[in-house]
Amino acid sequence: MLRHLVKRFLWSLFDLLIIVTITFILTYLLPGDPARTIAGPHATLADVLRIRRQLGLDAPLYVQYGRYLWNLVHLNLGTSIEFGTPVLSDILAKFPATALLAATGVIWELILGLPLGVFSAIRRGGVLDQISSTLSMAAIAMPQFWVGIILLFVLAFKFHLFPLGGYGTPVLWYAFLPGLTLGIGGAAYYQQLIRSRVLEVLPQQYIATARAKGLSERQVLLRHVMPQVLTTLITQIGMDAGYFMAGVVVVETVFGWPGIGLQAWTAIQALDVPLVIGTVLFGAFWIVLANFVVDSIYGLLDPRIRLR
Amino acid sequence: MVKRTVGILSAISLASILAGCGTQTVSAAAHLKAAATVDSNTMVVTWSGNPQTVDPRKIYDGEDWNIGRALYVGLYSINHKGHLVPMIATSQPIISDHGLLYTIHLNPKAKWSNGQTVTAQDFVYALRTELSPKFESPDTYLWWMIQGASAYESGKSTTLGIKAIGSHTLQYTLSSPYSAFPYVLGVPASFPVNPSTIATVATKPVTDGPYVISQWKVGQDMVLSQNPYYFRHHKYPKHIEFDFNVNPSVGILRVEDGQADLVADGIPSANYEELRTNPSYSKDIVSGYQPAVVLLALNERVKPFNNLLVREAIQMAINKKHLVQLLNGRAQAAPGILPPSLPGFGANIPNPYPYNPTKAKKLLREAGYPHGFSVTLGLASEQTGSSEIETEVEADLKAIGVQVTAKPLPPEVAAQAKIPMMTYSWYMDYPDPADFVGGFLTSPAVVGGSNPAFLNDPTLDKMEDQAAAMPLGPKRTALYKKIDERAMKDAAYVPLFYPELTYFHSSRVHGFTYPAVYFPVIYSHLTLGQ
Amino acid sequence: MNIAQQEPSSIAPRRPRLSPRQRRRYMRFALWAIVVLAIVAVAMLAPSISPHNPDKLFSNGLTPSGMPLGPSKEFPLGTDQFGRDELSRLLWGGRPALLISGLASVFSSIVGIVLGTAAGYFGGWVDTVISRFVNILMSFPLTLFAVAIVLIVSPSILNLIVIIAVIYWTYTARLVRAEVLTLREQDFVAAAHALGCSPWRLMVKHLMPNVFDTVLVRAVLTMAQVFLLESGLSYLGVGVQPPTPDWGLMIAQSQNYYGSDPGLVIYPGLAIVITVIAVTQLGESYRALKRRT
Repeated sequence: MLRHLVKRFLWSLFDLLIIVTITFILTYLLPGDPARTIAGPHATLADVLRIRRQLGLDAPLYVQYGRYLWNLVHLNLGTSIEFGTPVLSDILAKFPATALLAATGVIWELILGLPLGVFSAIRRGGVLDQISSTLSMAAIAMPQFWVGIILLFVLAFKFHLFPLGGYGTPVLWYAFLPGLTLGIGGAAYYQQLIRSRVLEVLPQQYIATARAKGLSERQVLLRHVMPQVLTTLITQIGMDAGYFMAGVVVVETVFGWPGIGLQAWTAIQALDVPLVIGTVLFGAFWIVLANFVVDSIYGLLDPRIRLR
Repeated sequence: MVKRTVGILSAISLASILAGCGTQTVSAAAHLKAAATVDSNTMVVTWSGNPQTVDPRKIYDGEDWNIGRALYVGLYSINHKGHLVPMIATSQPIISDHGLLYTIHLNPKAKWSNGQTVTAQDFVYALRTELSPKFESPDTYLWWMIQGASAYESGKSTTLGIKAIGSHTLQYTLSSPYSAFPYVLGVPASFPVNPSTIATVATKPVTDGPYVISQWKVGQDMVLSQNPYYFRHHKYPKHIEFDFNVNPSVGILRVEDGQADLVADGIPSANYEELRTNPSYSKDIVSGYQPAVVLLALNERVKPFNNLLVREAIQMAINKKHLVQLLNGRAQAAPGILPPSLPGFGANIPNPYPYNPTKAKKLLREAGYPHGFSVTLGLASEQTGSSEIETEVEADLKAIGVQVTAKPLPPEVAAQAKIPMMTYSWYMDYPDPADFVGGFLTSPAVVGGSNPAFLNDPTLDKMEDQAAAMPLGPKRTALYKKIDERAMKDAAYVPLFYPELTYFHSSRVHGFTYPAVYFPVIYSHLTLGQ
Repeated sequence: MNIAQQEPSSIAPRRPRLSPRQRRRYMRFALWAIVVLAIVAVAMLAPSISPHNPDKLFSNGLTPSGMPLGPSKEFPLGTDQFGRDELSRLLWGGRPALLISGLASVFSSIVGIVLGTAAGYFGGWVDTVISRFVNILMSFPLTLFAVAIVLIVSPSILNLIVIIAVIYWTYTARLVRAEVLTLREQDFVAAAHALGCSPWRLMVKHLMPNVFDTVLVRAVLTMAQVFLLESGLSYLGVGVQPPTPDWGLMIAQSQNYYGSDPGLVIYPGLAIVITVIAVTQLGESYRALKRRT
């Protein structure tokens, strides 16, 4: 078990190294002047020349790469053009809001997706199944920004149920709509995933045995079906959490939610490449971490993986 | 000299920032509910942007300017009528030595928010650091007329024409007479900073103005509270809360809903009509013109705009009337470069290039482009009405066979990157044509100003130098009108419109009168009612 | 449409007759195929069927105070805030996204099938390298990653296609690899191998045709996802650039008019939803068709 974990951990580190290399290539090697890219649009020619010297762009490539890695190891992700502050501290300052939104999104996915998925599988072909399957088909196809705009207008402006975007207290009241927007698409996906997983489990022999033993449908569901569904769920939640933490640019932008996604959007407008790349790296770090955690939990739950 | 693009009205429906909605009359119940949630001592301002800086030595544009004036006060302020009003200065400057020496006495009552007295040394310190080469202030262009400025800025010398005599007398020495100089002493870049607390100047500064920063979450909000040591009146709101990154349309809804008091961006096109026609808001909409012009710059150094005929064709191809309609009529089509709202201007000059696409096509043919050409349009991203301009220019030029590809670019880059054509806007730093035409009509070699069309006319430069040194008055104004005409003949700048700024505030905000000049929101002039 | 004529996988014997369930599946597939074809046809024919030039600013296309017009005979769905015909823009507006999602999905499938087959067939270090790389690319936050690249290389339709294909081939490769792993154990591969078939020939002649269905379904689903991604990028201002009519961009530009002219936001949004549903269902129904029960 430990060996499996260590091996996974080392692989994750390797992944991070390659990810960092890719961002290095993006910033330094793509056509265009990296000094110009990093200095940002408002820089004067003198600034660009100074940054070129600072970055040591005249140095051989491996030296530049080494420096880049060295900075990252020391948690130096560069300086934001827009704010003139260290990129990492900008991201960490905005991260709690994003984490909260991500959590709200995952909760919405579960609240909507789990019951609908289970019930539409149990009553396969029934009215509820047809309605929820149709809804989830549509929900997956809706662009998040569009859903957000409509929710904001109808629920927040027309009916005054929620604030018009932004962040304040009580924070859950503010997080309600952005979380819902974030969760709708995922909920639809969960509904489909759970439905098909339950449908896979239901015809199994041991379910019939359980029924034959005289367990009620509810007991069968809770004791025998749900544990199977849960493993699938954990993987999915882990992945979603990773992706949501990576900064949900569109939803945060629509609702003016002050997280790393909105910050990245501001950075996009200002052509602030260091901040955008920093956010990408930060997000990739979360996803790698989420993968690692999910994998480890999975290993605990499923001994077959451990043995491999 | 000068250049000023301003994000303050980026709101006029830029491809916008957050979600937007329209407007709807809010029910009475909603008003009641909202009234309970708003603090009667706090004015809430929404803004789509973020402050770039609160250090007055770096304040450059947009809402930064207004926040800067809420935090700091300098020697003078420029009032609604465009007149210079003494603030820390006790009177108008005493001018001697043939207009080269300006002596100003300081009011000893002026205090910093930590209780220290504001001294002449604080002003000297602020300017010397602002112009030092390491500091990289975007405002150095404002001080070109100070003696020794250019050598000091490049680090070649340490002498600069500013001097403290005792703690309460300041002297500025100019290199050449510049009659608009007192106005420079009213812009944020001339404000003092507190040298003993300089470490916190960018985050939690000690200030000498009406407010101090009591809380600032970068990228989210900022709260200003009254400065207890401020030496003037205290009727303005106890606190001002700025909410950043708020889409202007959402901001309008918040004001309607009673959740906010003012949208710093102004009114977006989408909301203007409904607000304007709603009788209950008639007192809450404030609008006016300020000296500003939005233009299209045609780069004379780049083919095909090195050809006068082509430039003239572009001048005639733009349907300014339709563009004004796109802006809900909140603009005046511009026949010339200098706006009529500049003091002494007023009467419009006739448009030398009336809209005439047929003639434009003919001119292109004469210039050797019978099938038109393709060209890149650099878009200043913080441009007033940028999406409207882009849409209009693309459609109008397509009609005469010119294919336009737009590329969002800040003006600084465009000027360096030799973009053939770009949008450009000019908002004055102070109400004088010298600030106004100086930068972009002056040959690039003369002053470090931006001149994206690379207009190069020595005669024009000479006329400008002459006008800048003349005493204020009708003769000087007449000369500036001639400068405008001459620049129009060159046709490198296509004046598009003079923007009208419109603001919407909650009914409890009083004292928001539209200034004839200068940046409109002066927070220390506002009061909060019920 | 050659999907319908494609031979079913060579392992299964062909059924002489359709069961009622299978017939329903054919019907469902045909229905969605027609919807998708109709959408594509509208986009392709937009230049001839749209009532106006979508970029033309009509001087009579705005109210005197500069607001969009409601529906009228001349402008069936009204105008947008620039006085352009909304219907024409809607008809044209699917073109960039369809082009980008279509081509990106083709390219990503080609790369995905080649690398996925190689990984599955060769195993060993080839598999390790490819699988690792797939894993790593999947660790990037998708939208932001795309945005970052577009920021650096500047947005153009070609760049968008390349960038999106570079991100999306991983999904195909992963699927193909898994499928090839099972196929490799089967008799016909062993037989081909025994007959002295070269690995390259074996992959192209025997393995790839067998994963074709999987890839086809995946390609169609990729297209739907890319369609959404593209509209999101355009919404954020890093996708298709104005004045090109594009549904995502139309929503972004008109969102502030939602209160006064909700159609400007609703119509392009519905167009996106319908297209994505149709494309997704086309893929799903094809997959159902190939299910042998």
